[in-house]
Amino acid sequence: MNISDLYKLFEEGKYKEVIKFFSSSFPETPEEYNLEALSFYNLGFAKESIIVLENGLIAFPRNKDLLFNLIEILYTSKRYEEVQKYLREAIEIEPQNYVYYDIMATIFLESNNEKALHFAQKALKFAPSDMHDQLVDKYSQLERVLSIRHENSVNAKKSKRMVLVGSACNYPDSFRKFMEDGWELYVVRTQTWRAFQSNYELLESIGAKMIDREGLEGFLEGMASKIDVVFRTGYFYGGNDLHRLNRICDVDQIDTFFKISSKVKEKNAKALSILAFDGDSFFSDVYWNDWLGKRIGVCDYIFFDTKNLKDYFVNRISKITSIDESKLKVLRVEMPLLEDVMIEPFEKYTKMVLTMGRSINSYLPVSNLFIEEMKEQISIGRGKNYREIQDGRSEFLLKYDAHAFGLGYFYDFYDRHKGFEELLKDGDDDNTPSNGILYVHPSIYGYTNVPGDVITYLQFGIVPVIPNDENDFHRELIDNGMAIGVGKDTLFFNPNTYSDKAITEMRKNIGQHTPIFTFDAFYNFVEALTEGRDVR
Amino acid sequence: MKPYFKSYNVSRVGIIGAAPHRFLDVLSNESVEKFNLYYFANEKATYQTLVKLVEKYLPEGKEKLTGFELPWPDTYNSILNEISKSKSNGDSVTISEIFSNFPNVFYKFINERMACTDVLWVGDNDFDSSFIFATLLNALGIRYVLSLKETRFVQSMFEFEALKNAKFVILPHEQYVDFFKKKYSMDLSRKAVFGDIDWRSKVAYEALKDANVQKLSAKDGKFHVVILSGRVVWNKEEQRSQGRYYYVPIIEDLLNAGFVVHLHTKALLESLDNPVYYEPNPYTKLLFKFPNSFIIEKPLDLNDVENYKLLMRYDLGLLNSGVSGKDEFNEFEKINVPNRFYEYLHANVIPICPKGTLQYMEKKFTSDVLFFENARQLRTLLQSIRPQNCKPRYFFDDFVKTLLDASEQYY
Repeated sequence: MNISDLYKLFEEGKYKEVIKFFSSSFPETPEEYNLEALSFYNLGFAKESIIVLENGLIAFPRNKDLLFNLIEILYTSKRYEEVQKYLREAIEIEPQNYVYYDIMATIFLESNNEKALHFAQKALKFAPSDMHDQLVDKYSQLERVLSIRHENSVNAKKSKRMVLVGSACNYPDSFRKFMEDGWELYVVRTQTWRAFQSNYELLESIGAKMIDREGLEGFLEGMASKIDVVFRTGYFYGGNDLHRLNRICDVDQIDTFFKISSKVKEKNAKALSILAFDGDSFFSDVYWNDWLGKRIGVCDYIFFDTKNLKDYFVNRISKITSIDESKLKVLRVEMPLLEDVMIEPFEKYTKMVLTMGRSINSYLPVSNLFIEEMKEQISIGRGKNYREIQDGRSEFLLKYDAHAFGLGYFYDFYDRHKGFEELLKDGDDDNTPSNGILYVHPSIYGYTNVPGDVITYLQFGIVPVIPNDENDFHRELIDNGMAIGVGKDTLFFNPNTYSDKAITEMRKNIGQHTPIFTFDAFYNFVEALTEGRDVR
Repeated sequence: MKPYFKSYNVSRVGIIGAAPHRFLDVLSNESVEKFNLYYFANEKATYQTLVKLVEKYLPEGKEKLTGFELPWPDTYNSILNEISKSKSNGDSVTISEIFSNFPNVFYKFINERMACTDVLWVGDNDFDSSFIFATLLNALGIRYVLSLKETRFVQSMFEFEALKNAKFVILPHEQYVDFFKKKYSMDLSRKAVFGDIDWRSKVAYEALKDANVQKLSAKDGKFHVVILSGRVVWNKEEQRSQGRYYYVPIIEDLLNAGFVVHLHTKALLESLDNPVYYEPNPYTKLLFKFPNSFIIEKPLDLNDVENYKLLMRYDLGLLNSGVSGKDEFNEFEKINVPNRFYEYLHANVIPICPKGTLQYMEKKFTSDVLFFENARQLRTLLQSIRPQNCKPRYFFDDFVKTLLDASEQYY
């Protein structure tokens, strides 16, 4: 019996015969899997049909027809958790298939989840014209249920648009918050984009639209007047070749940002230009400071990871140009979304100090016996796509969420002789202690940086063990009881001296101070700014 | 012409122990420019006492003193426990395994801070974990000076290592050399100098000498005997201390002979094996039997120099119960000069001791201690004694001089 015979049997409603055929002959193509599964389904055997489709996907991963049917049947069977799991994959494969967004919207609508709006908007966006009105009617209840608007309704809010120049290095997936709330995100691939290809892929997987250098001029031609925000986040190595050896992408990226900002502002005077410096930024090179200072006037706001970094910037750049300090803010961008923070209390914790890599290259007060090095590569703040990150976070949670402590960066802590102010005053920000173990960062770094690993620990409620120093991010964590600050006189950190109760208390503190380490503060600021609200 | 004057940066690692005022003499020594005191974690309060003593009796020496609380022996014990947990079928843990798992900043501190000194002095005994630290120093190639007082006739790896690797050793007296020769077949004679870590502070003694404290005997004409003992037990059969803390017979003997006995102790217990208190017990029975002659006093905190004035009221101070311990202790007791001997001298109290236990002292300290067979004999001996002559011959200042002189000699 060939495939057309099987189709004929199926169309004639002879489902039992189709199933009988496959009991002695395994399906060999996606079409055959579908025929067997749908035959089961039509006879009322939903469970069996799901098994067949799942087997089909093992044989033919990411097959869109198998996926489609599986999602439909799971949805009909009200197995919503599994539906969502497969929907994410399906949306990656067919990002313009309105059915998936419609199912997602319907599921969220049933639980009064605000995410319903986002998916409803997407469904409307991609729905064929003959389905559009039907969907508008269906979603009109969203107004009542969620008390919010969707863009295709009569009173829809105008969609806002952000141009992100370059990719964020850590937690780029947090930008989905903008898109979920109706923003359009355009990401400009800068000269060295291939070095960060996975970040761009991740942004694309959450719905951002990519713009290549070649297409940039055309994009600006048509869209500049519609752009609300031009944004760039990342580091600035100040022309220090030693530190830029492997990652020469800061100047090109910032230069692109300045140029796009100017063009956008020419067309839309209300557009905002925001530049964010992460903790890997250094303003020690006079030449590059001069370059930066001469261009920075175009920015409406400049964000910094720490107050020390802001002060460092002011100290150096004010020598070149006058700075309107009201434009400068301490606001962390490359952080997880609040909804991705996962903190659970435990009755008993694993009293080990987890480390995720480079942090063990410093002088530390922790014995190797108490350090557990994360050996596997788990995507948490970075990854090729959103699914990979979600899986990574689940995997991390499964393996490490009961770990009590996370090892922060000690940098040159035990070799430091100068305080932050003293370093600035003496112009000594770029010294590298000769006796640090594999320590290659400038002396200012320990005072200005926000380590990505510490953010990840906080995201999962793992208590960071960090230097008790003048780094104002460290200070925030220590003063709020979210981290253990180790003094220079502490030669031995003994994890066993902390009770499970004390650790739970610190986890609670972390949970109560999420604005310190989440993306949402940045989002709220930009959202309020573009709504025309006072944000100062 | 000005004489050549060498100044020293002295660093001490180990417990502060009894009589923290001893260290006033380190600070008062003109040759000591800086004194770094690396004390152990459980001695924070004792260090604070020392700081207060310096502020009161030697304020000009305060700048010389720098204290640092070492996480010791916690670091050692925690790492040992952690490694032990991972061992299966009773595999033993090696010292190098433990030392190699210390945090790297611990080594950095030792190498870059502790070792940067003219004299690195470790002490004082095998029970306070300082000898483990000495072994660690040697493993890091750092030379140190060792002071030692209390020991037992039981071989200990850390004591052996600490003695073997020390640049020189400060022992209380020459009999210790023979003791260790017998114990380890180790000849310390070429690197031993002598000074007793229990010698009391000259600075404190000078501060007390004009105290003009009246003896209790001046009021009632009776001899008042003081007993200073951390613990006192009433079960003479107990195993752990083998009767060393069993004071019932000697107190009764003294009371029967007409002495007034003042017992200062922190713990009055049935035994060390069964550390409970209940009444009646032999001591409370003595209280009942000798209501005006036997007094159980509050513990005397002699970390506070002012409290020596309370001790000064007594005429005689008992050095031990007269009961020998088991062999390993007894061997040591033969050469021991008990800490409280110096305590009594410091307070102008005549030390007394039953014959037969402190053999070295019976030979060498005949003019300082009244050794007696029984209390009646003691009364006779007292007729020939003038309490005013009871003064310390050495102070901790002499110990410091020995330390510095030997440091030059054993460079």
